[in-house]
Amino acid sequence: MPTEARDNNRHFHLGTVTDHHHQHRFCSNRISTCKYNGFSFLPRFLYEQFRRYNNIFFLAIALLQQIPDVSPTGRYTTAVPFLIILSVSALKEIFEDVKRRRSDNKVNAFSVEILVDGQWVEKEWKDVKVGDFIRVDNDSLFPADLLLLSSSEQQGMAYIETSNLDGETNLKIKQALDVTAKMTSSDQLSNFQAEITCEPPSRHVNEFNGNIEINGVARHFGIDQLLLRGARLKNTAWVFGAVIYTGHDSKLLMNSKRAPLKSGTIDVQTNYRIIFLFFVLVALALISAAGSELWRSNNIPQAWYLSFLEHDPKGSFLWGVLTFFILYNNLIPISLQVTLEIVRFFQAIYINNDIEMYVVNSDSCAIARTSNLNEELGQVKYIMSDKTGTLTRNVMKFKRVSIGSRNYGNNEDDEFGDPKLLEDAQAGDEHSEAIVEVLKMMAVCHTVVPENKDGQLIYQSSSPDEAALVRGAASQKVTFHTRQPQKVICDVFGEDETIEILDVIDFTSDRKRMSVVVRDKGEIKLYTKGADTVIFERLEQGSEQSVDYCTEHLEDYASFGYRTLCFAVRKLSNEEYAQWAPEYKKAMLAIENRAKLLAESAEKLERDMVLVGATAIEDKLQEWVPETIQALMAADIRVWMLTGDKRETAINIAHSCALCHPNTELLIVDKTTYEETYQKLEQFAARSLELERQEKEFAMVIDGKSLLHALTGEARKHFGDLALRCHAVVCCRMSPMQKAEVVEMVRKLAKHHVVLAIGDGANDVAMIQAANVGVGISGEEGLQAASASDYAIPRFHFLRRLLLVHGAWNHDRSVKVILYSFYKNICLYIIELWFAIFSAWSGQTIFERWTIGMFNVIFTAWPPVVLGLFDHPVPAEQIMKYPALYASFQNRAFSIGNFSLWIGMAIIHSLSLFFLTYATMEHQVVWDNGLTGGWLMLGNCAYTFVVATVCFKALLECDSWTWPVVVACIGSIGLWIVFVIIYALVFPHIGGIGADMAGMAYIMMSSWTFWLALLFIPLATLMWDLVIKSLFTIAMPTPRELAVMYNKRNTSFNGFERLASYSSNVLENMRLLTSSLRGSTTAGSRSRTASEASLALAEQTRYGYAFSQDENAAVAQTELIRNVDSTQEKPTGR
Amino acid sequence: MPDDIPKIRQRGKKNQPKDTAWKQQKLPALRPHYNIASAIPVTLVTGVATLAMGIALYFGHMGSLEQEVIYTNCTLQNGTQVTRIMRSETGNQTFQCLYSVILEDDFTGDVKFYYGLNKFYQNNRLYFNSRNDQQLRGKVTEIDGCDPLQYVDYKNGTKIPIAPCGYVANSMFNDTFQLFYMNDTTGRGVRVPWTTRGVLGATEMKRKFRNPVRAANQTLCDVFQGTIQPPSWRYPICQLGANSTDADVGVGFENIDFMVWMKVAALPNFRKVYRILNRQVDMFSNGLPKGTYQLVIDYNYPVYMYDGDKSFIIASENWVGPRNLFLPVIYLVVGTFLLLVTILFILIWLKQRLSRVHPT
Repeated sequence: MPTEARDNNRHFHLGTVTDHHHQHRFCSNRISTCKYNGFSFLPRFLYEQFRRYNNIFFLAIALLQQIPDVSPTGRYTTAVPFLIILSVSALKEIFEDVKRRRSDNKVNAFSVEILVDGQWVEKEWKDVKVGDFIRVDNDSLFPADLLLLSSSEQQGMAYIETSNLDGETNLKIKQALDVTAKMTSSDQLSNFQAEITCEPPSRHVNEFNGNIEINGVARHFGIDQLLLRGARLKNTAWVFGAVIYTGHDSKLLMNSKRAPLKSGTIDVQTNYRIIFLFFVLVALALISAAGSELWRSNNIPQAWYLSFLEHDPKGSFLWGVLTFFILYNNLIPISLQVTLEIVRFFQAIYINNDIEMYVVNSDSCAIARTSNLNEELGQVKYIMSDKTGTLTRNVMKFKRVSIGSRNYGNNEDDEFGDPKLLEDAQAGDEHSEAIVEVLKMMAVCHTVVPENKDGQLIYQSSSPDEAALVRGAASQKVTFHTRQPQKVICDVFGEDETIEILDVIDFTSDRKRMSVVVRDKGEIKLYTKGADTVIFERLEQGSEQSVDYCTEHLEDYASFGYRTLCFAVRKLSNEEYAQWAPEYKKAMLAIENRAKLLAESAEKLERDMVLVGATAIEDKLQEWVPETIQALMAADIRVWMLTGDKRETAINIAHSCALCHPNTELLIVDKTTYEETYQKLEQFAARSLELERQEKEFAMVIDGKSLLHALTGEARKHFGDLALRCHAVVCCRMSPMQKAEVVEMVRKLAKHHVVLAIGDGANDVAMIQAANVGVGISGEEGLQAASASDYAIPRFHFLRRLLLVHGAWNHDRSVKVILYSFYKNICLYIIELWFAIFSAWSGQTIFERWTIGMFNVIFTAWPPVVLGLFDHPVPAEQIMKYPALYASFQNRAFSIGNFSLWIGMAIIHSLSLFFLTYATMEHQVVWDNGLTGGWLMLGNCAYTFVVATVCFKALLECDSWTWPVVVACIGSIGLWIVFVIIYALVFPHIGGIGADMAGMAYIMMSSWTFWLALLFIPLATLMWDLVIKSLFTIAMPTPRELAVMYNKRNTSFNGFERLASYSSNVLENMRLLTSSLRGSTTAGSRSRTASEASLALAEQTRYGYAFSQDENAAVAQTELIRNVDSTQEKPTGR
Repeated sequence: MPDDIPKIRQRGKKNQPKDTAWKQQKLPALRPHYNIASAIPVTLVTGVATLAMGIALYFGHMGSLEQEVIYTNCTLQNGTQVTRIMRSETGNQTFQCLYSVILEDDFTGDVKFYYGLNKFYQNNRLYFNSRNDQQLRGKVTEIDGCDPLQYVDYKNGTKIPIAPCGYVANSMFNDTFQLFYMNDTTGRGVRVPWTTRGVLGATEMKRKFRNPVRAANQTLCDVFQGTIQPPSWRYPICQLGANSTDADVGVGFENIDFMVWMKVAALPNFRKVYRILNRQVDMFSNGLPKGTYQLVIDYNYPVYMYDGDKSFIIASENWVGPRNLFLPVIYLVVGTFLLLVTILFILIWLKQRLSRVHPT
């Protein structure tokens, strides 16, 4: 028994036990991402709410109002609206949490087969317990971290796809321990007993250690036997596993942090503005209290009717400050938070319901998982994109092949299908021999395992490239169908040929090639496939001609972003082989320097080869990826590609998805030491400045190792400079944490910019969580990224619509909502200040107390909401067509200038409204029948004018008048009128409420002057907005306004220039716009200008070499080839 | 043949969003665009309308007649000036001053009589709130919120509530007026008949002010028993309005002058309606004829300490209310300005057009 193990290790028993009691201490496999439960809701909700300054502020005001006689507006006028607003927020939280619970339940209810009493029983994921034996079928996800016991494949091998976890394209091979690999039926498994000791749950994905003790014999097992939750079984019919870690103990969930509370830049800015207003409020309270002090010293006790104030503590300065503080508290808009929340909630519904972001195939639509970041989508400056699964489909297709001087295949066909290849192959000349040779190499030189399933050939491979090549060969009638330890059998044009595999020289990323030595019809040949650079170096003398043909084709392939491989062959004499083989065997068995010895030995054989051809494989992109990336770049968004894949692969995809063009200069950083990296960065930073001057395109490529250095110390600055200057950056060989680090670095460097991360796998979760906005690709079930993201879209290309349409609209709308909320509150409540001048600075309100409280909650609650929901600054089609508009929207950000303009207008409006009302009502007799209005006549009239002005202002600011907007704005005025009528009738029926208001409605509405003023005062107040707006449009229109004009008039662009000729500023804006408009249509001319500083590395990428293979796998490539026998029957696992 | 391409399953269209104008944000919309060309008609039309309105208002207001008598410094019948009257100086003595008022025009229609006060801050918050609306509805012992004029402390410890309590009531305006038409032929003054009907809205009066309910055999003073008048008052609330020379002024809380006063003014310079001409009397059925009038004022209310003014206003108003030239003037100014802006805009617009035709 492993009792000597440390206590925090995990011990448990595998197999049937009578007492399950001791296994309950491990956590269940049920996962929960909910924020609240029944008990924690209230405390947590309140805690979250009162972390916001404005809520603390309103709580303080509500409490202050409880002091008798301090409040000019009564006791409950803040508390009641505040409670209403809190309850709306609470409802929203509950609603969102219920949604989260539902999606958790969906995952928890996935089904899996668990061994119960010797029978496989279908159960739900949440019922999986530590120590259970489970069976996972092909293409299924693992429900928990499992110990691989056995599989349908030989020697307990299993292919798994971990792109969810680390984003690598190739499949990983896991292998069961030999002691367990033999158990391939449920009977064997149910008799299995073992003790397991392993390390406690941790977040290290690449490290794991444990012991399994069977019949008293302990064996070590490690990461090679561990199947992680989130990974998917591939190309393997089934596996048996023993559950090691469940639920939140699994590595996947240990790595997924609780989603951080993201708040948009707008929220942060709004908070600053609120703090600013708070200080304004304090200053106003102090000024007013001082005014009160002054007035009293001049007028008391002379004003005998107020003489009591002389000794009343309620007349003191401090009391005055409190009173005015409460009086002006509404300068801070109480309803802003809830208005925004409502608006964002519905904006999110728009996103969810956008039919143009719906995919029929997977029946999925976009999902806004949070609504707090809607407007951030309109501010995006950097996009950090994952590659595999996001930009590419992770599907490789054999597309073209170059043999001799001829190219076969084209770009248009989905799969290679050039009939000429077969025709030429039949011709029987030298060329046709080459063709057969290439096809044979494709079918022989690889690690693929064939499987005959129901009469269909299925290829299993850890390398998708190889699988594509083998399939490609098969489509050209060279079908590889049987693999045995020493030979492969291929069907070559209808005849089975047995080719003996003598030796295998593994692929490594240093060697960039793979070779096999074969004996084909008695002839010994070396088949090598690999990167153009390494192959060209090793050709026999006099191959220049074929190299020339080949490079021409390679450049062509590379320009389409295809992954290329070169094929070379060398005939070996028996003697030579006999001499070489023992040496190689020795190297294989070496313990020290094995890799070096192997490489050296291989080097001796791989020379004087004959180039026979080159292949092009398409790493299939998702739909519309290049178009989307071009549009995003036209919108002045910098696109970064962060991938776990190799540099070559990454550059390939960068080309094919239009991230860079053939004439883009690539600045490749691939140094291993800090000094080298630093120098390189310094050099490139200078170079980039030069390129910028020459207006040339450039992009940076950096790998994970260099990045480690680039992010430390001095180098960081250079890296930052360089990175921010590049329009496209490719980061390759990145670990998930590094992706998150890069995102964080960019966020820090580009402080005011929004960084969006998009990905589909669990390896992207950290990055998605670190970014300002995280977008996940949804559609496939159980994709981690989608559930950690803020927005999930089923296809990458929907990002364009999400950002350009929803983002730009929502940002513009939310900014309007916020500014408008500030505006309307200042407009109304600063009137109290003007009135204080005429009310002895006593803190008397001009309006009735409940009308003050209800201003935000009822009378002007709707205009900002409709602005936030129905305003379309520009039509969707237009911004999709001219992405440059997106950038011009960002300029209309929530800037201090814009804020000041609105605040300034609010103050001017309040002055205009108050003094016009004052002048109209100066004697307070405005009737022909002799009535007197009294205090509230002035207040109610002013209030009516304010409501009218504020509502019409909303219309004025709205860019598209749909009927809900008009109804809400006009209706709000009507609502107030109705309210006055009802409120005037309340007293004395409900307590003492509304005494001042009794009968006021009739009084007000029976005055002609009131109606005339209602017509005139808001008009006079708003006319200047209209005039200013018109002047602004002509004097300095934004590109957006130009586009609006363009849209309106539908004239040519000359119209722009004409209009714009009034100001040079305009011209510049216009040039920007038109150039980017044109740029988006004529992008990517394929002229190839060789840059004088072209680097050797960049040169390498010209021919598009890329290849992926699991290098440090549990099963080495040679072993794989040597151990597999595809003719053996597979166990059923039942 | 390809085995690693995800199989496309048609799962139906369960999640497909509905293609409605609401959900797809495609409601038909009008896109207002603010540029010079679109601003011209707006400014022109509103400018003309505003100007027209201003002219109409101007004539409206010019049609409102008004005669104001500022009587802060009034001359008594014996020739002395009273400016500094305080009750402490005069006891309960009332001074009567006379003014001669000459109306140049016939004041036709419903002629109104106002009193006006200047620099009187009825809108001071603490003053303003110093009242109890429930007490004024007849619950005489409700005195919350009137502090410190809630009740009077007697030495024996009893507290007698003040009715009406608070500072607003305490400082009630108590000058009274009579107006005589000096008929040329007789030389004798004819008292101008006044009524209180229409001074306050009926509903407002009935709902806000009510004397305590009294039994058949009780007098008003009986039901106010146990209360005391505010310190500045000369007589208890039950006598308020009882000795008035005018008809139907009401008594106690329902006294019209009291109710008008309790309806607090919004601004420190204010007018309150005092009486309305009773046109049922033959001689005045068309209003006040032009001629000489004598205004008799019972001068009680002190204003000199805070440098205020008192006035009495005779006004005949048409639909716009009392004469206030501000509104027509501002209409005219804004209208003119808008027309100027329109002209400016037209000039800019023409310049644009010309430069379009002849590009330089």
